[in-house]
Amino acid sequence: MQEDMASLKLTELQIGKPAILADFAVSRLHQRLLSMGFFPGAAIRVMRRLPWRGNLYVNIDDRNIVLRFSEAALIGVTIP
Amino acid sequence: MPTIALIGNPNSGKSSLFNALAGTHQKVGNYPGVTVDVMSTTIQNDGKGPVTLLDMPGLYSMYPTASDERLVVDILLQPHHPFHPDGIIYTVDASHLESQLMLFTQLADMGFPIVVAVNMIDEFERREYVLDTRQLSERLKVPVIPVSSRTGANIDSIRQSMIDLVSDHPANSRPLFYRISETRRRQISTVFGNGEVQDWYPSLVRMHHSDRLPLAEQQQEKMRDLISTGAFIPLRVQVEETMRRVDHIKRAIAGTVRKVHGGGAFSEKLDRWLTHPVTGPVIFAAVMLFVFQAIFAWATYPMDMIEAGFAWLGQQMHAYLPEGWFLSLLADGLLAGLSGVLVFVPQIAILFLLITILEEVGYMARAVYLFDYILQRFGMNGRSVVALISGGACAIPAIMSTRSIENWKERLITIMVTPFISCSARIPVFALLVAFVVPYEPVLGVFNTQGLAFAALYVLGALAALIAAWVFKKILRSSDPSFLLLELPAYRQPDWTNVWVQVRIKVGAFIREAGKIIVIISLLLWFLASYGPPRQMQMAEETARTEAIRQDLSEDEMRTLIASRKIEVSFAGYLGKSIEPVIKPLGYDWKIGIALITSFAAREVFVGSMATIYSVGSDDDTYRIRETLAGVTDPRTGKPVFNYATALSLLLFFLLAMQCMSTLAVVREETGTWKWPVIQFVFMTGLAYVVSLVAYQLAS
Repeated sequence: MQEDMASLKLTELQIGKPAILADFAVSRLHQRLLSMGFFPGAAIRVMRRLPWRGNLYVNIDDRNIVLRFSEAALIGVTIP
Repeated sequence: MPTIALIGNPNSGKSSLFNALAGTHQKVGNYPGVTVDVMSTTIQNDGKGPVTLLDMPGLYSMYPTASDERLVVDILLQPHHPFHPDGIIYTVDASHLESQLMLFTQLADMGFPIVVAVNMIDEFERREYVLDTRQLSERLKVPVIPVSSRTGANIDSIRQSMIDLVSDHPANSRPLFYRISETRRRQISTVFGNGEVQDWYPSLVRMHHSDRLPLAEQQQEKMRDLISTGAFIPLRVQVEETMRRVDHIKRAIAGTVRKVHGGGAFSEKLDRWLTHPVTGPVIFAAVMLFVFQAIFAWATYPMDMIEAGFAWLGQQMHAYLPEGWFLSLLADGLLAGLSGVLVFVPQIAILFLLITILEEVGYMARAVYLFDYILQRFGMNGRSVVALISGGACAIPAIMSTRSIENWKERLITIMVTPFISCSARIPVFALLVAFVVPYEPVLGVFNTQGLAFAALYVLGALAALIAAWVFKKILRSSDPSFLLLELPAYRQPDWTNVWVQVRIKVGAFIREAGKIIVIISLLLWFLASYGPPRQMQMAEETARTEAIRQDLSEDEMRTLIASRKIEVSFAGYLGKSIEPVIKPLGYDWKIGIALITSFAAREVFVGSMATIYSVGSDDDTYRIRETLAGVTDPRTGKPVFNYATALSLLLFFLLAMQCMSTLAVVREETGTWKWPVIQFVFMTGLAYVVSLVAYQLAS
């Protein structure tokens, strides 16, 4: 990973800021995340989210997906 | 007949393609043990003989998380399953090739002959993308056909390809997409023996599913060894496989898709309002208000027609058939039962029409997003929204719609509390009783007190559902991970064939499931209410007759008087009297007891029973029943039986009690055991009893 890349959790990503999906923790969800287009290297952006620790509405490779806060917390992203 | 299955990810436009291929000649598969709708149709091919085409539930991978997905995998793994396909038409959304082709590589490695249908090509091209079909076909080593079920483009090519699929077998020479490692191969050989395994990948998949589809005893033992020693950790092996496949697919489609411009601006603009934390729920509430308003407004006319039709049929029977038990069985038992089922069809059809349109347009997925967070607090899932709304028409199709909820605990809780939502069958009962509780007065010009009381009952039902869900959440334990990963499709026009098919399935489920039980119970109740100890029955009839002659009643009045006297001494009357001590504290006498017992077949039966017991002649006039009931007094105390307190207590009882055998039967089918319907019955009816008791004691 390059020095000038900031890596953070998807839940910490600012709304509207384009990022790259880096990795995610192995869990039961892994399989499902992959099958829905969450590949390392995919372009990802948080479009909007619900207040408190509500659900996230993300755009990943031109596809809109909603997921829970707890799931998003498993996903690491980098800002190029 | 050769069988071909349509398989693809949810949202790959699979059902639309199926509809385009099948037209409306389709039927729901009904094989034992299949709890998910598998649609099938027969496709005629000129000269080559017919082919059966199946529309399987959507699937993401061979390692699924939802029960309807597991069904598909089970079918694919069992060559002798009646639905096991000889070939597969794999549907992908042209706009999502990269993620949706993963499953394709798994199916190809399973050894199935496959044709890839790249669906929604019109939308893809409208967004100014281009797909190099020939190149993709070369890399995937299967035929690739771009189609649009909307415009009908290339549907005939798909039909043609089905014949090729089952007539030649290109599958044999295909290399595997996923190269199974040496270590893994050794493990497969250990389980299946002797290194004789030819079908590496199907064997591997069987190993992953050995918990649900057990292998032979010896193999099962070896499998347990592999898992317990940590040599084969299913989850890790699955992830490793998926990563490899994704890699492969990325390389396969690289360069085949070219993009000219971005898209989705319209959906994005709409979502700014529809998924906003404040305006989103407000718009949702407005949409729901419209939906329920529409049910009341549009259903009245067809409902009146159905009731009038049955009334006419009953009159014809009375006019042309000889008096006697057979006529009574037909007209008062069977016909009443059928009418009680069919009269709700318009309301249920309208609700499901609107819900399906909202789903097709893409709005329901947004509602799931909005309410998932709140429903999680109550042990449910955003997807429960659909079931809870559908419960406003009928709990039966609503409970069936919970199949899309992956987490078992969330699904179970949704099933358990959905019957609290006030369904169509409660409306006639509410309509009868509300007037006793709230006198009619206009409010703010547009509303009135009774209408508001009606609305309050709906709210109360929804509250009861939430509270019960919260209690279940605290009690039930579950190790299943709970999650929500949902794709929001771009807003689009509904596929009307699909709407029609969905509404037909939902209404069909209601007629079938509710119908058989309501009709059987109607017949049983007819028997209980028409027969009793012969001597008492005869005496009751004679006293009623003399009384009628003394009072100089008309023929009709005499008949209703006799009917009401006879039901007192019928078996139903005895039942009513025997439960009187239990229901007395709620403010009900044995007559209400009879009506209450009959309403356990289906709630709306209550109104008709009250009409019979209180000898109101005809039961299609709520106003007259109400007037008669208001005039009834207790012979011992001289006070009116039907007062504010009793009516309130009854209203609450009908709001909360589980009085629908058909729903219990469906819950048993969906949960696979009698345990849950029994618990549901006990806690709902128990709650109803306690609440009605308290309400009556406080109000009287």
